[in-house]
Amino acid sequence: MCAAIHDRFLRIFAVAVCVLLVHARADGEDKKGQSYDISVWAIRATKSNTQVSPELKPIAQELKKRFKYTGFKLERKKSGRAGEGKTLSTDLIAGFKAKVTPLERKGSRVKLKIEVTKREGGKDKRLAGTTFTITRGRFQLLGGWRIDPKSEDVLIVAVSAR
Amino acid sequence: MTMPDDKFDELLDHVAAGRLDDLTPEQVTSLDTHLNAAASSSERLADVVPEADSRLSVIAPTPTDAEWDGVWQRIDSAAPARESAPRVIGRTIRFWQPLAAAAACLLLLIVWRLSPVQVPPGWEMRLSDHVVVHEIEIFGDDCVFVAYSDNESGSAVIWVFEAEEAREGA
Repeated sequence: MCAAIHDRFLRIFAVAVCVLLVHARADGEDKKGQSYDISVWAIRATKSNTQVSPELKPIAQELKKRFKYTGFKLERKKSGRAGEGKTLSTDLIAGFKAKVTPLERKGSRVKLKIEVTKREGGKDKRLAGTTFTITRGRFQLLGGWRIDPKSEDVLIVAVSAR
Repeated sequence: MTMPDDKFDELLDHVAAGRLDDLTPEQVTSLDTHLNAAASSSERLADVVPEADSRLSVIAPTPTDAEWDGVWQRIDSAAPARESAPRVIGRTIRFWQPLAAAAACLLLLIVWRLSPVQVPPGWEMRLSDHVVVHEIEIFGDDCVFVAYSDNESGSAVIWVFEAEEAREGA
């Protein structure tokens, strides 16, 4: 009888742990089970040099053509996962913060919402928010905020999802 | 109502002979009442020994020692084998098994929850084509514009002019 109770306890416990693990892993995913891989890069655009981080070489020429900056440095890169409708928040540099929310995924396209804030006076001041649809795995750039009042370096945020 | 003595004796003869089945229920009741009322009347049954049932005339012989040994051997062979380990140690091991399993599962859960999310490698910087901007919100006095590429790829950069910079530009 003790052996039967012992076996039953083990079975019940194993099932309970499995249920718990599945539920725990579901955090960050929506009810449909859709989760997105998201990557957010913080780029410093400067006029003080012509150095370009290796990861940014593919777009350096494009950016130089459009804007008057000559150097692009990858300051920070953050990758994570979020469920549909859930927000991935990440610190950038110099008090800037980005919040990315994947909204929809259809075929090779993904719809994202991103909000950029800056820490001022103990609060996160909202700077800009935008919703756009891009190709999965490709990046969208938004930027122009001065990083440091003493320099003309600006922040460019690159965001992608898949 | 008391029973006549001759009637009583007749019924008592039936009881003494072991033929209770010959009496009717009323006769049994009357006899019982009479015996309870008169203690001396039951003395007649004090030395009565019931006749042996003829069906029990044959008494089965008791098993021999050899037969008993065979019986015990069959019982022992049918019983499950006993554990060689002492009962105390066996119970101790069985007590710790579920606890060890529970601790292992709990540890696995903690490690899984605390482990960093594994993100597939391969984030390559390539601008998206065919960008569709649905909405833009700008806070404060900043200005924003969307710069699309010259080629037909449809890539775009969302650029914010901060208020001070916008005034300088103007």
